[in-house]
Amino acid sequence: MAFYITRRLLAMIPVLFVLSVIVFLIIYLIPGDPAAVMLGDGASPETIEALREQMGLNLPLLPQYLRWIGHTLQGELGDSFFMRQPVRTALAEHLGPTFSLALLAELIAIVIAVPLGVRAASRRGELADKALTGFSLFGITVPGFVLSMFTVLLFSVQLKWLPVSGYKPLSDGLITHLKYLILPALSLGIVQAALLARVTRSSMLEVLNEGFVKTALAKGVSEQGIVYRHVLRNALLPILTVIGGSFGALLAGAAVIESIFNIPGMGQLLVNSVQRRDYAVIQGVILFVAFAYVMVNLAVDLLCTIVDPRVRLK
Amino acid sequence: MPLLEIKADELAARRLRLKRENRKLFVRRFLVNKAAVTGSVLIALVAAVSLFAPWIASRDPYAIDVVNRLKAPSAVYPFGTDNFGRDLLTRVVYGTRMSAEVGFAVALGSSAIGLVIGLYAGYFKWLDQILMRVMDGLFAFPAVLLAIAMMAALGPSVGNLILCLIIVFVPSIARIVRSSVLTAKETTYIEAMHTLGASHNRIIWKHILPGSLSTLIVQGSFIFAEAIIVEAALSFLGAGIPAPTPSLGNLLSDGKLYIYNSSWMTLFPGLALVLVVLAMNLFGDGIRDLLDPHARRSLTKRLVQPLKQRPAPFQAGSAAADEPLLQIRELKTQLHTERGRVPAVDGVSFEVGKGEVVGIVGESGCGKSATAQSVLRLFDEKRLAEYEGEIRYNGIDLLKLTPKQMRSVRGNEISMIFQDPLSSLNPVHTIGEQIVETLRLHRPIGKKEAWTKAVELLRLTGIPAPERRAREYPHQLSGGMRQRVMIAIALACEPQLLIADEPTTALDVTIQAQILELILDLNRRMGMSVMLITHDLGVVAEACSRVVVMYLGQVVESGDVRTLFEKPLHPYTIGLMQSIPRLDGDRSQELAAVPGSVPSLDQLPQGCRFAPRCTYADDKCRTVMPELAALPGGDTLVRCWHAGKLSGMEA
Repeated sequence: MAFYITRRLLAMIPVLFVLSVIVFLIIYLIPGDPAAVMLGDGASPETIEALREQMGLNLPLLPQYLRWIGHTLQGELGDSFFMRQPVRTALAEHLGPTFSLALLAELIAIVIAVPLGVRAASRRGELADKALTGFSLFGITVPGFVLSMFTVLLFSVQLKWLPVSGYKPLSDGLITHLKYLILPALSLGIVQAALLARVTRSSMLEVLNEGFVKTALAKGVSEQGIVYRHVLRNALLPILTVIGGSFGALLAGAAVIESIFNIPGMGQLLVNSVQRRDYAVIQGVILFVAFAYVMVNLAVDLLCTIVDPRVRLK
Repeated sequence: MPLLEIKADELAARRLRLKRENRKLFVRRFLVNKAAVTGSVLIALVAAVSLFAPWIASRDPYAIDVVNRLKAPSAVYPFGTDNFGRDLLTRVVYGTRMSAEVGFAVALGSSAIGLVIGLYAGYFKWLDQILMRVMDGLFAFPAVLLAIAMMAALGPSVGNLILCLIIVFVPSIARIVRSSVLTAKETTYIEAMHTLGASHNRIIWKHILPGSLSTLIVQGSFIFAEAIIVEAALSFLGAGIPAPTPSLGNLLSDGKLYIYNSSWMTLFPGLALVLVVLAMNLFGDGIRDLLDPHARRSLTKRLVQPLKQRPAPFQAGSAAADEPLLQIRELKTQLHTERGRVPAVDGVSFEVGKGEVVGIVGESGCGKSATAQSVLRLFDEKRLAEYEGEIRYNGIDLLKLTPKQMRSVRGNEISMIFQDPLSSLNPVHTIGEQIVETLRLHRPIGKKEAWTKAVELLRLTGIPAPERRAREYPHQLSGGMRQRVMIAIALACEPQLLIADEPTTALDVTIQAQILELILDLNRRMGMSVMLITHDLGVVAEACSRVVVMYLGQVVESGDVRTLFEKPLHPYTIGLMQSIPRLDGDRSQELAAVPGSVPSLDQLPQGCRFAPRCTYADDKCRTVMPELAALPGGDTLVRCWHAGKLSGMEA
């Protein structure tokens, strides 16, 4: 077990390295001089030169990367050019809403998808299975932001049950917090639920074909017992992996959803920074999100070792 | 080496022929697959709209007409107008075209690059290390976010968007192609190509690539759909295609501000987006279903008749002493397959007496296992199987029991063990737990007591250190031990009948004898009847008192082991016997085998089923099916027109 964890942690190093190089290189995608682009048309050559110096653009590529990664490893992500505050501070301020939103959306997805997928697999061709096909097609076809525009139209504008947009932190009370979050979370969660339900179903179907299911049947286990005690437990690995992976999609989806619902999260920070050409913040957000994503997947992998003894002992 | 080249090509040619046969089946399945057909039709529609955009919408998508701004849909403006008075129908048509172009370019670009990376990474290990690390790194970013960041640097434009999306989607294609290459590399076919000296590039492009193409088409269509959604999201955020250009994302973005009063500005582009994405997903799904062996089964037709049920409570009871424990009469099991209903078991009758060991023999595909599984009714009766005839256990017809009554028979009155003990044990539960489950299903005992009993059972089946083993998982045990565990599970409730379906086939030769001995020992000590399914006549001779020979779902000969071995009557039985090497036999005589192979159940021969492979077959054999009957003066039952003549001959 300890061996497995060590190996898993070591395997992360090259991924994190490649990830950091990609984030670092984003600046180089800017056509022309990044400093000039950031400062806009009216900037004097002196100010541009000063910014180049400050960003380290005058150094050769490798020392520049080393300088950057050195700072990054110390948690020093540079300063926001627009907001005049450290990127770190900006990230910290915008983390809460995105975390709440992603968590709620993930919960919604799991609660809808797993029972539906299980039911559809054990009753193939029957109502639940058809419902799943329809639902998953809907979720995959209708993008979250289109769905959210119509849910707002229905629940907020027509029925006036929920606020149109905005965000209230948890400190304002759970009910208020959820009231503002539920529509955006639903829009995000349903799309994820569609994917998860499909994976649950196909993973269940795959396990249903395995030999031990027949053994269980021959032992006299009931259908319920077979589905939950024998099949679901074995089918959990792909389901967990997809839940881990969906976290990334949720964070990405949050970028769009947050700007629709005016939620002051990381997604909105990113979109605003793109419009402001605030590259330090863009790099910071991307780096942070990718890092968080890698960590979530690590956690999922470790969880898998608990669920399935075969992984643990490999 | 020209000779080897020829051989390699011959191999390839054989594969091609097989493929062509499969292709016919594929086309047939494609046409009944609703998703694939609907998807294709919708794709054709989108393609037509994109190609003929200028003819479908004759207005200028950029023409501003402030007087007619925000007009609701009408005869003049079927989709209404937008905030600049531009005709929305025209903009949706051109927007669909733009989105489809982006989707197509991205799907094509990322598939091509991903394919090359995946093929080479999967094929060359050293390259794999480098390429896949980079892919893992890219994959660690949520796709949309990475695209946003890159677009922020590059600046919005159609070309930049396509470039960014290609970069974002390459890793997923590369990963999928790589894993299919890894699987392909393991196949004997590719290994053979290696041995025959084909060059790496030739193997990759000529032999591995075709296998990956189908996966690629499926993934490509999903990426097509995904790219359109991401384009829409990015343009929506102002980081995609620059503003006046109509793309579905830009149209939705325009609509956002007017959604409350002019919802058509959102509705029509939204519908167009959904339509395109739906088309690609349906198409991809349909094709994937056609390729996926599991999903294929879902095409099989539903069962027509529900099972007749008689809700009398099941009582184990005991039949009269002279009555056999199990009596199978005219059992017919039909399985629904893609090629229609096939009779896996076709009118089988035989008996298993109390304490008796009966062998069922025959080649693979002769219905031995299907018979065994029918006794416990293990086939899915809702979708897969239909039974006819009678299976009387202690005088009660198992086919008439309710599902619940049937459950109280399984593992309790009749137990079963299977060929492959590894796949037959649940990998995520300990061995102890799996034995306890059977015990607690059928006996009102507590967990602790059941656990003690489980350890005892493991000891009984000859597993050393049973206390420790009970807490281990199946994969921690050897093959022979796993089969002992299976036997322990089967014995837990002291069943009266054990069905052993090729219990030794998957085991090492040295272990086979031990497991067989264990089963026979339990038979002697506990008086448990055994139905032993095997294709090994040696095992039958050693273990059984009676034997049933099956061919293509039918019993062709059955009787007492000694009589049958001394004087086999059916040509099939004779053939089976001649295929066993004998130590005391004439070494100069060549080892004979039954010529040909077992035909598939959907191609049953007319007349006697064995006729096409039989050396004695005449016209009568080829047209009229013989009955299973005893010869005058004998106990052995045989299904052959020539049995009388053959009995006079020396086998």
